[in-house]
Amino acid sequence: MSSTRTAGREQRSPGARTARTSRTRRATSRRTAATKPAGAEAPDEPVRDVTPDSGSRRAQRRAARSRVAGPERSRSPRHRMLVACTAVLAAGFFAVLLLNTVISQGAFRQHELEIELILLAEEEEALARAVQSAETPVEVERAARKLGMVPAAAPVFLRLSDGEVLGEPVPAPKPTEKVSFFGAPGVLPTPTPTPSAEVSGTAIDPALDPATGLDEVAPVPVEDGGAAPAAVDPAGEAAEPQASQAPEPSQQGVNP
Amino acid sequence: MSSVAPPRSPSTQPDPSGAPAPRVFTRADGRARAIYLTFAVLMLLSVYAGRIFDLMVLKGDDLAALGQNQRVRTLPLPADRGPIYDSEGAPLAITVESRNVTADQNLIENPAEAAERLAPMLGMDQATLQEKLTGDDIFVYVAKGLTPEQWRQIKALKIVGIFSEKTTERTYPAGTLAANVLGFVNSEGVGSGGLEMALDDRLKGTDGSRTFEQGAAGQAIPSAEDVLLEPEPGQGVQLTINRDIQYVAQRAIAARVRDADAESGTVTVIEAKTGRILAMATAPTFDPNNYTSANEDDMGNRPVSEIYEPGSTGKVLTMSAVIEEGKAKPRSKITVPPTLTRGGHTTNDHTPHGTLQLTLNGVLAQSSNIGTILFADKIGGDKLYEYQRKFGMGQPTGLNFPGEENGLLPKPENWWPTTFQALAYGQSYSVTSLQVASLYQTIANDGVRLKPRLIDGYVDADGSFTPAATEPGVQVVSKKTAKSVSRMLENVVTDGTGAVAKIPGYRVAGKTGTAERAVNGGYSGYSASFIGYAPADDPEIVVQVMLQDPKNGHYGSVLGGPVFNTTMTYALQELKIPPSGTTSPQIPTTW
Repeated sequence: MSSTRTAGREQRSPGARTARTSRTRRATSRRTAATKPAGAEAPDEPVRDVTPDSGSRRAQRRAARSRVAGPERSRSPRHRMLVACTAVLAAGFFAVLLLNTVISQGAFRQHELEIELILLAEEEEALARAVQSAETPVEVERAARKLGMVPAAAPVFLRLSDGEVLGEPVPAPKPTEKVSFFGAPGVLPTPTPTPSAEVSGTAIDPALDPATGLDEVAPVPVEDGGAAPAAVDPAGEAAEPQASQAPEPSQQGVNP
Repeated sequence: MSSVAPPRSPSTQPDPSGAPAPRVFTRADGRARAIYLTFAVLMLLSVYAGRIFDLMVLKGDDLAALGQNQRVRTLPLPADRGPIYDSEGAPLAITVESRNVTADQNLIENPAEAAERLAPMLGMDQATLQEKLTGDDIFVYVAKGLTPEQWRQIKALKIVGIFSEKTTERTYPAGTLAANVLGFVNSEGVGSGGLEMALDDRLKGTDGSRTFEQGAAGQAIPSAEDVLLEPEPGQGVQLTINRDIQYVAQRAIAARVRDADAESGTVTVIEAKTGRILAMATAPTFDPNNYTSANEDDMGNRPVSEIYEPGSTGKVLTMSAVIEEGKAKPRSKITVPPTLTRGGHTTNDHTPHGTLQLTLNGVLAQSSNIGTILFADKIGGDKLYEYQRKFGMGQPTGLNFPGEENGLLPKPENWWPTTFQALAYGQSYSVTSLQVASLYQTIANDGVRLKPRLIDGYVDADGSFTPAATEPGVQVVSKKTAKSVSRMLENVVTDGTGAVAKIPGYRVAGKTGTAERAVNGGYSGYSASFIGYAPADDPEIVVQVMLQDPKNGHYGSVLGGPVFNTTMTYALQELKIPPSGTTSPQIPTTW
């Protein structure tokens, strides 16, 4: 029975084999196509016209159709053009966007830098003002007196060409003495300190004494603000710094 | 039969089976749809067009203006006021950036709290501040003239409704130094006194502005409208004032005014050979940084605005006229009686004396009124008046300082019988300190009177310097006369009333002046003065000191002399003027 079945199967064989063959061939051709890049030629590569059956022809036709790609070839230049245009347009848009962003960023940066510039200019101005106030005659005199310097009583010059001394040298008063800007000690009485003195017109204490702690000597305010007391009454020597420093009402009455 | 063949075209024929045929899209359908679509698009477009027409044409201008207003800001760019420098280029007046604090009262929710936080930072009274912050005004000034740093601290408080206004502020780094010469600038930025007023047109410059479109963060929108109108800074001015000499003079006179309990005092320092005013000090003075709290009387420039009778310092004028007219020489002799009565008025000298036998030199050295009258007799009233005019009495000095007085010099036809003798020794006419200084400058400069000036030149923003125009001087008396008078003035210091003015090593010429002070038609108090120059053999510096109505003492020598000495000593050092080493010639004062 089995043979019969086999024979029966055999009987159908031409068609079935053909079909199998064609199937095999298709698979093979598919395989071939797949393995083509490897360059290996399938050993059972069938010859195309060996088994001209309908199934293989359809497949061939299908393959041919797909292989022709006629319309693709005819559409290609226009398509590329379109792609190129789109690309250019996109690039353009992107560039403009980028440019605007950069410009905007530049504007913000400029804004920041301008603020920085203003701050630095302000700082410079503040420093310049500090230098200017340190340079004013009143401050220079204050610094000079702190160093124990005194105003010259008479101008004297040394001529370098022959070494001659012009003028009559007068010994400078010792800075520890009460030095008067008027050249003679004790010409003027102690000025009365007033609470209305202003910072800008801080006066010089003529009694600045390098021996007794300069930094503790407070400036003596005067009513005119700009001028300093030029000399100190010797009698008021002891009371003077106290009176100038202490705002207590009890000392106001003592003050000459 | 036709039913056998299936329909080839997709027609709407009913299916033979009787079932309803499915709706099939036809070409006609496409056309209709296209028409609908086109119509819809057109409708939409016309709506858009209408809206655009409405926005662009009908409301266009208004909307554009509205948008502009939202974005466009115009910032005023105030021009920097030109600086004022001293003769060495040190700044006396400069312009710095400052801030005014403003408030929108409507935005301040809690004025009490805002005032409490602001008061300590502004140094203001809290109640006053609260008052300023309460109300409906959208713009009020809270405080003016803050530094940018101060404003930043206030800004950091983030009080809603508090704003700032950028402005510039005039400051005077040396405070009261030369304040009366410089003047001040008012809150509107206009020079309102002294040189700030006189030179306002030069100093103020031209304001600019910047108009730009602004983003939310306050940054300028790039590529938008941005119009910048650069401000033109004002011109800087360089003065003839020497800051250091000014300081010494100002200190000296302030101390002396206080000491002598005088009403006021001035020091004027002039360069003899150029007429440049090196210092012009006034006491009491004021601080131009804080001018609102100053006493108005102290803000003027007294050396040019205050007139007084010159007294003995005016005798030099009479002596010059007498010598120039050839009527006398320094050694000419005269007998001076104890008193002299003319026109019902008896003239005395400052100290009683018997009959003296003086030379012209002696008359000046001892400042004898009677002797001066007797010498003036030799030229007569008309000639005296002529010389007074020549020396510039009663006339403008040419300085053109705001508030400058010309003095009063009576014409001969208006004289009283006593006027001539009074004029001879320096009374019955009035002068300014600058006029007296100019008189001595003329003698010191070999008889050539120079216009006193305060301005060396102008400094542009780029730093270029334009010297101020100068005028040649006028020969008032001959060089010989000037030298003769100068010798006599030296004798005043060596042998006469001006001994206090001596400076070791230098030859000093000088004259004291103690005049009765004319007040409201009568005389009350004194005008004490001292004027002189050095080195007398080649004069460089003229110093004039004036004290009005001193209570402690009244002699010009005692009060003015030390101030002269201090100022002159310093000026000689500062300008590096060495002594010549010669000695003053001795001319006999008596015979």
